[in-house]
Amino acid sequence: MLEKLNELIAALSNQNMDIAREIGLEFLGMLVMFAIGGILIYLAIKKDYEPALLLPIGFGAILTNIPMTNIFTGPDGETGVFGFLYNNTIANELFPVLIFIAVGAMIDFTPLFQTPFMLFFGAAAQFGIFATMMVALLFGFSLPEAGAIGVIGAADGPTSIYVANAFKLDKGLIAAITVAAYSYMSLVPIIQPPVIKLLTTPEERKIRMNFHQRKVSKLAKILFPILVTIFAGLIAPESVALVGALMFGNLIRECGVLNRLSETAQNVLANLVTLLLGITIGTTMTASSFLNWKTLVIMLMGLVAFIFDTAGGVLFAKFINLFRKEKINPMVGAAGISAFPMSARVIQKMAKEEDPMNFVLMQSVAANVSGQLGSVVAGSMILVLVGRLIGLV
Amino acid sequence: MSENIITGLKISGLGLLGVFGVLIIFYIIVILLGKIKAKEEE
Repeated sequence: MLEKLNELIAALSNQNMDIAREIGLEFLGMLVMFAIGGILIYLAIKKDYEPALLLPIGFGAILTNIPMTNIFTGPDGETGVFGFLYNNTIANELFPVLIFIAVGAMIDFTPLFQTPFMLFFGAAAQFGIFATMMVALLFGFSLPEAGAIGVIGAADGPTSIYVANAFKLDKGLIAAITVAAYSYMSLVPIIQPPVIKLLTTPEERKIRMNFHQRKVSKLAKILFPILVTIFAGLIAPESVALVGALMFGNLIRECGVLNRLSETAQNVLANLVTLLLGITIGTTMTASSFLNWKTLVIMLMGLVAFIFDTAGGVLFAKFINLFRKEKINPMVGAAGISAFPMSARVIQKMAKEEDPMNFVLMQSVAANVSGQLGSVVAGSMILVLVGRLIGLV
Repeated sequence: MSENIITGLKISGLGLLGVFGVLIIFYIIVILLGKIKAKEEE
């Protein structure tokens, strides 16, 4: 720091304005990144917005922008501690896959077996991914960049990181995509209600849905992750790491003989990976790679993606209602995003606001777990289709 | 329209079809597995 100040003073005294401007901008960039890191920490602590991710990311952003430090790249220009972590856990996609195992161990697919039709909302709500990809293309992003930005609409952090990494995007872009994905995920209760209200009438929001509670066979719950992995792998082999990890976690949960492993995946593994993932992503947020117009547009695109996702789910439900005798509450369609269980809770809260005796929670939960499947499949589709075009897969 | 936009439209169309296609298969799996009777002790 002192060295930089001395350089600045020397440049000013020699009236070398180019160098002085360069150092000044560097200093300003550092201050802006400190502020961004501070805002992320504030959002995590004060607003409780995805604190497990945003706090480490915010701190990592501050850490990496301290001048003359070598946490990402070592003093000799070789890989530093966090550079090592990045290369060996994120760049090779280890962490996103491990998080999927943890997420799989947390998901209970029982509501899906009780209302299988909700699976289609897990597909419809992925509309936002593709719509956002188109908007990003219009903004001039390249196809791989636009594809990775679109995946923010999966409302699924690990999928976003996985796809962005697979396309070998710049670290700054991956960081921006990660921050956008996790920030907007936590803003689901703020983003979804106005979009839903705009697209539905009070009468539609009052629609009651029947729910038939029934027991689901243990064998069915064990076979489900195995069959899903086989079929997903056969249809899109590129998706097998993502779907396979998710379903492996779920199999551990449902098999009934690996309770300790299931608990470890849900708690220790999830916490440890989240902790290191957050701070490692944060340390890639250097001013030089993060402060550019692309980051700003990506943050905007994240919002667009969540709006399109919500609209896609609601409009699909309204479309389906044209042909169904037993109507679906269109709000349930909006729960087809991957933000679980936040989105299902938001829908139930909105339904109760319109009619205190309306219970659509189980249907919303089913749509929500379908969204988790749908988001992985949609991310895989982007990976396959864009990846094949650019010769990655 | 630039080539990128046309490619993007194709990817979007194919991608959405793909997502629906895969989830239809998952739907069939769920329906078939749902037919397995749950044992009383479960």
